[in-house]
Amino acid sequence: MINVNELLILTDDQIDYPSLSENMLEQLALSEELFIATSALTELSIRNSPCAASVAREILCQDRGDYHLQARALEVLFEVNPKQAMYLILQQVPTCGAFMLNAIMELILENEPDFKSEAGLFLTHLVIERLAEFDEKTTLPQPEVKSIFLKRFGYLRTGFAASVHRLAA
Amino acid sequence: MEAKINPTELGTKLQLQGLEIVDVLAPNGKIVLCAKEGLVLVPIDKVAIYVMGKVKKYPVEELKELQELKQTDRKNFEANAGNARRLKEIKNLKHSYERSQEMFASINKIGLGDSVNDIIVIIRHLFAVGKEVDVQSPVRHPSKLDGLLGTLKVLSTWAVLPDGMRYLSSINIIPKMETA
Repeated sequence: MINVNELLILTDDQIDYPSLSENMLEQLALSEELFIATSALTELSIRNSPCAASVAREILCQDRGDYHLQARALEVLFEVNPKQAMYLILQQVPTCGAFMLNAIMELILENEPDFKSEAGLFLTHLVIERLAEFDEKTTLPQPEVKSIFLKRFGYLRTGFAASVHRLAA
Repeated sequence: MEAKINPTELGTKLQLQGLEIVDVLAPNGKIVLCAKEGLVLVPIDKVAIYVMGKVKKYPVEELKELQELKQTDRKNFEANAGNARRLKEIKNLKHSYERSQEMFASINKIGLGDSVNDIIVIIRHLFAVGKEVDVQSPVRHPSKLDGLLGTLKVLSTWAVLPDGMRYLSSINIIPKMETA
């Protein structure tokens, strides 16, 4: 039987993820080898494995890996359990760095209908408020993503503010 | 795992520079080219591909098309299960590509590039770290990689084999931007 640690001598492209058991994928997804961890998590998601959400949640809640792995975990969690992902986003938005904020914006843009609820709009508004903290010249959040996001949701900057603050109170 | 001499091009170049190069047979039957010094094995591709920004670029246009389809015509997007699967695959490729590009940008900042000599600098750095690995606790090892223009933080993890050999199982370059 293959030991997970022994697989970690390989690079990401040398592993045939579809041939691995869910248990093995789960261990790889939580490993320190972040290229392999990201692919293992993706394979769990492709299989619609119940482990995908729990592993993604662990990565996010335990602050595992780098922000690429965490962004992928957020995407996976959203695919499986949008409500839980939105709850985590809500916790992250006020303090997250530029990369995660960019990933959150991309997630909202890609899944716009899911963010039409009051909670979703509240969250979107919080993102817009955070955007004001970043200099125009910064590469992150990506200017293209920022521009599309503001074009799509910029109206929340003013009209929604009053109701948002009511919700937050 | 068994080791034997490997004659590939990069391996030959590294050998010419004085490194011992071996092939290691991984449990899934794949051959892994490693640099070896004493009891320490460094899989060369973890440096020559990951750190050197050589992870293959993801299909940018296909990603855009799929995201656009999902945004504008969710019903049609969901009608073909292959779309969701492909979107997941490409997002994975994107994260791996970007991580590798960031690693390379980070080593550029301290004056290292993708030359054979610079690959050797990093491998020798990892040899030094690997020698210090405690057999009882194979955990993350922080170290500082020096270049002509500065120093970079490296996190490496190591696995120890029953015969005492230890191999690099992961390498992460900590970028100087954000870490959140």
